[in-house]
Amino acid sequence: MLEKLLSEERVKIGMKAKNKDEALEELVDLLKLPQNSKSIILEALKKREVIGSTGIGRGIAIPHTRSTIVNDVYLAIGVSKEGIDFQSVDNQPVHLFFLLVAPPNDPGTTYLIVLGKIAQIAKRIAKENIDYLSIEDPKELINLILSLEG
Amino acid sequence: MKSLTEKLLVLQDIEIKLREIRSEDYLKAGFTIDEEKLSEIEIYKQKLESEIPPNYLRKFKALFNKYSRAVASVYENTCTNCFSKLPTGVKKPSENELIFCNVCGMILYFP
Repeated sequence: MLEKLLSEERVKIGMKAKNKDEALEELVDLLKLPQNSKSIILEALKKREVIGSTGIGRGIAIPHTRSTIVNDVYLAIGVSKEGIDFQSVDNQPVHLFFLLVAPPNDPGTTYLIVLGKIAQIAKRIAKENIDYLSIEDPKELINLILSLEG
Repeated sequence: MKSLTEKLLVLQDIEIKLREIRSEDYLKAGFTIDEEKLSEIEIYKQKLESEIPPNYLRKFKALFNKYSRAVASVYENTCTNCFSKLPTGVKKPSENELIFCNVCGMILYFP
């Protein structure tokens, strides 16, 4: 399932962001949306973060939102070597981001399924101490994620 | 400054978000919700609602309560709710105007 959503152009290795807002903006940039749409998506993501950080700990965050702006499910991945303060549950900086955006009603509830899969993958990465930081090639990172999908 | 349609779109996204975070499937993914912070979102929602003319807000709520959505984006001149082609000449509305799909009645958002 994730194979259909992942593409090299939506993977950013070496994020430049220094804080949470910049991180969200850099990730949303990967979706290549018009400026108006981008700002609405960003607002939705920030609202979601207010309710509780999507930094799930062990250096991983899964910012996500549904929005009327998009007509399809989008998944983007970002890696920050330095780590970004995302107010995660364990107060540790985040190095690996999975951004998920979906329309309000997606057939097959893809959004929730993908969210669950990413959460599982994230737990595996943390538990097995999988080294993703040394990966420089987006395609290699995608292959790693897909190998963990199970 | 957001147009009226954009405000309704943001309001819809907030409503959808509030429903989503309470669903069982969502909570299984392991996210935590700060109940206190939820009240901040509610306050923001109320502020947004106060900026919408009452008749339009009533229309929005009626649509949302019935269909779980009230705003649909337009893609290639098609309503993404009912997938009907819009009549020729239908254009992006002005700041304080709304355009409705003439088939399904959704408020149309032109990206």
